[in-house]
Amino acid sequence: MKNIKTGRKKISKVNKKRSGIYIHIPFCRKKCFYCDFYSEEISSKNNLSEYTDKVVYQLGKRWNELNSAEIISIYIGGGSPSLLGIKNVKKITQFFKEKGIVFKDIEFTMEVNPQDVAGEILEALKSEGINRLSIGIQAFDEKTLFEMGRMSQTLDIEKALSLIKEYFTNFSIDIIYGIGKERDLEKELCSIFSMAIPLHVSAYAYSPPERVSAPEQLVDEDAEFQQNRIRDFLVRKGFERYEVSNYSVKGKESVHNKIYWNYGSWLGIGAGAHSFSRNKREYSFYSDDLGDFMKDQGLSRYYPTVEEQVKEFLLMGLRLAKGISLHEFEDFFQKSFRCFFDIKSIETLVKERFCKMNEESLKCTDKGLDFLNYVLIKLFENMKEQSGC
Amino acid sequence: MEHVKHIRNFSIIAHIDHGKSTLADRLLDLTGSLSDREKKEQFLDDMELEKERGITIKARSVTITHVYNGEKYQLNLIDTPGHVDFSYEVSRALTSCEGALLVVDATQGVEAQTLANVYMAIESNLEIIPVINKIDLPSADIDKTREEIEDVIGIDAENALLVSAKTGEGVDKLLDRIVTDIPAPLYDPQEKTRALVFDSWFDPYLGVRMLTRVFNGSIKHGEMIYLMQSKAAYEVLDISRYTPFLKKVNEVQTGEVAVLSAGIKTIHEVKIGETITLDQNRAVNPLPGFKPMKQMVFCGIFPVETSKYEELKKAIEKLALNDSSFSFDPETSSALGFGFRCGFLGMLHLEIIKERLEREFELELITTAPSVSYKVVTLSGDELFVQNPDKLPKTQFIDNIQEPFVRASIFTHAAYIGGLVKLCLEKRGKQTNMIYHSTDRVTLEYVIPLGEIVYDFYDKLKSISKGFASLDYEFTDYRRSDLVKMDILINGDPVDALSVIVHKEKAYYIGRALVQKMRKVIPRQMYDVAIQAAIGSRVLSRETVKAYRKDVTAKCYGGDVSRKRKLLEKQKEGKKRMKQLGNVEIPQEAFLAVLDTAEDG
Repeated sequence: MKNIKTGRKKISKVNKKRSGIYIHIPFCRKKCFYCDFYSEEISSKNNLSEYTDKVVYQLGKRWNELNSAEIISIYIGGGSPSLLGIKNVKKITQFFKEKGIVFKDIEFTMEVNPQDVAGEILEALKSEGINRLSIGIQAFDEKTLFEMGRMSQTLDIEKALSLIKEYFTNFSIDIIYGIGKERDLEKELCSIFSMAIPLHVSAYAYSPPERVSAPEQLVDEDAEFQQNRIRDFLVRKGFERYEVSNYSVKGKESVHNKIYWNYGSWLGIGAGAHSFSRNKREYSFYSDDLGDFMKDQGLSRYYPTVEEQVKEFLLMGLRLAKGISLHEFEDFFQKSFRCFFDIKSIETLVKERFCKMNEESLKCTDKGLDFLNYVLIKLFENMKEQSGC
Repeated sequence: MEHVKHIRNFSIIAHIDHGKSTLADRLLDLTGSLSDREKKEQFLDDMELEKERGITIKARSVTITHVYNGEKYQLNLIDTPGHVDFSYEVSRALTSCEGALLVVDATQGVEAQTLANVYMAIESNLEIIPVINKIDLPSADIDKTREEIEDVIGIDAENALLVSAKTGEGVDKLLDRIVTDIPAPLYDPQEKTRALVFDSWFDPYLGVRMLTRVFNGSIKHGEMIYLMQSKAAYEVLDISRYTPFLKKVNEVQTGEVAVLSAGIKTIHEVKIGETITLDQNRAVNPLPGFKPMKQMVFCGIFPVETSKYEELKKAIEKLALNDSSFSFDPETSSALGFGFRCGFLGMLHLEIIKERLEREFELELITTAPSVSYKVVTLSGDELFVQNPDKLPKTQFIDNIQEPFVRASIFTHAAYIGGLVKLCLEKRGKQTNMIYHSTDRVTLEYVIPLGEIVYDFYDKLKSISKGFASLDYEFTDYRRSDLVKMDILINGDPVDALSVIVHKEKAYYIGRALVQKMRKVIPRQMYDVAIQAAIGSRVLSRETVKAYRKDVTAKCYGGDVSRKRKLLEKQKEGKKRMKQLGNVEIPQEAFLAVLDTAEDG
């Protein structure tokens, strides 16, 4: 039990005083058919400049909500942040510099679209302190890119990758499978890796949003086949599956996304962006409405119930291969894991080889990660209505 | 006994939706029985379900006063249930009247249900006043309706009253006609007190209340009464009359209708059709026509969560307090745990009870496929009744199996005869008669196994005839049939609650349709699920639900947490109604798959 106590102290330090920052750029040249994130098709440059000013204003206004936590990651996502232009990026970095953030000590990521990449931009981003790129490749197959409604073609991707590797070694790529029946995912990855080798790969299953224009997803069997091809290839290349759909070489796991999965705090700024304060158990989010944001309106807050928190803690934490720390759980809820879950029900999941559990942690096996929804529903079903403990 | 001259007892016969309840409301209106404040839609149907389904489940009565030629008349309207499942209650209620209003929708014409009840009324020697309703509608065809009443029912419709219950047009004349046409109650002054109970219900304060028509003599507050079927005596604690709200009276006299309470604790002590007499001065013979209630359809009712058995038990007992016509016996299923085998008057009755259990008691239930009561004669000569297919003895002990047959009357437009004859043939029916009422109105009469019509027959009949044809049926007798028990196996294990009794000749095709249907309703699980239909050890058909594949691992970042959680919660809710059998989860639909297999095959 002594170990547990020391462990607890360490965790408190890690999670209670650290935070990430997310900035949402809700603009795209053209919406991709599959995308469910909030964004608007861009009309004039002016918008972007004013929007960035608003972001900086909101950052300043809400800075104290961070409660002097140590910033460990900044992530500029979208939308298409690569549309921002250097001038606007500088406004954002300037703000953080004034707050005393040293970029080289943290993970500072920006999403880029292959067709927006140019040498001078990459150079500027690098000199501004951005040290990690996330490149939305999605597919390296002309037909599939078209089907997804992507603006880039394989040629754009090729050009982008050959440029990127000149400036950045630390970059991640996004791949979407479960769309495009005739694709050979191994071949696609092979081609990408022959141009530039990423340190991190996110491979998501395509799930069509509820829109008529969205293309259909492949049947389970085909999607699963594609996923296996991706996984086999990456494992051969020395990548580790550290989350349900994320792979990285050792030490290059996404600091930023791990904040989400560890149910940590982050401040999200921008139309449609969400924030979470772990200390206050508070969500806050801007409405999916650019107009609201420009008028400093549309910010709501939500306080999940303890039951909801437990569920969210699990559904995020169990996405990670390392699973959830039971001490951290107890530290967070001030009640032991057993107060909420009947250990017997977990034993069944262990027996069926979906999960592993010991004194320290509960985690999914590879099989468990593949059937995470099943595991979670089983856990939720067996969640106790709070009593006794 | 002068007062009898000023009493008129009548009921309203109408097909569902032909406007019976609206007409009743209008009668209350015109006689000033309700103040504006008390008026509400369909006063007589006060059970929530009755309003929703537009049907009357329980009988009612209401006493209204009408002045004719300067004299006051007491009119007792006896409302009857309108569905084939409740025809015995209807017959008792009709016996309590001297006349009936035959209400026919001027846009629809005569329908089979009306026909069956009119014949019942004619048999009970009631004076029938034809009333053509809904004359305010543009599609009303009065002449044709009149013609139909004459052709189909065979009563003179020359003087049929034309009314619109909705607007009130013609309803005042109708009140006069009730006084002039319907005879005052007849009675034998020599006979001792006899009263008929034509409905009853349970009241938490007064115990069982009995809706009663007095045929001879009178009953006073505080007197001892004697129930001739139950053979028990009770003291009258309350006599009331609906006017339309319950109002206490001291005495109920010959010819009158009233609600009696005698501190009777359970509804099972009072049977519909019971005769009440005075304990100190008992009548020799009960009133004629008593029949014990007979359940026709049976099914198992189980809680989805086995721990809810006690709750279900309490709920069923509570419902049984008010409904003596359904039976329940504890039953154990290896698949579904503890539950009850319940008997009902018909499918509608079953649905009503199930719905009330779920709605009023918030229970989540699994019901097994409905079954009829089979008579099994064993080789040793014993006769037993089997209501649960799983309880059928092994083939080697059976001499023969008999199933209940009914006489079914289908009233239809001639255009649909072909389809209906084919349907009846499919359902093993034998035609006994075909009566042309006019060139295009026909009654088909069939003798048909009850087991074939309890499932989907009525729905099919409606769909074949585009909603026109209507059905009435009556139990006749038990007949030998070539029946077998078909088991459904899930991953090789028979599931007792899924067994069905089927006719041998149809077994193959029902088996195939059944497993195909089940493959569709059983969701993918972590393992392959094999579904088989088998008779004994012979497998007739097999289907497999393939194991489900990996989950879609979509992007899940900060903003998605709550959305993702809600999605999972929804999925979890969807699983709630499923029953875990071994490691397979079976949804409620699977247990009822047999109900709509015939079509797929």
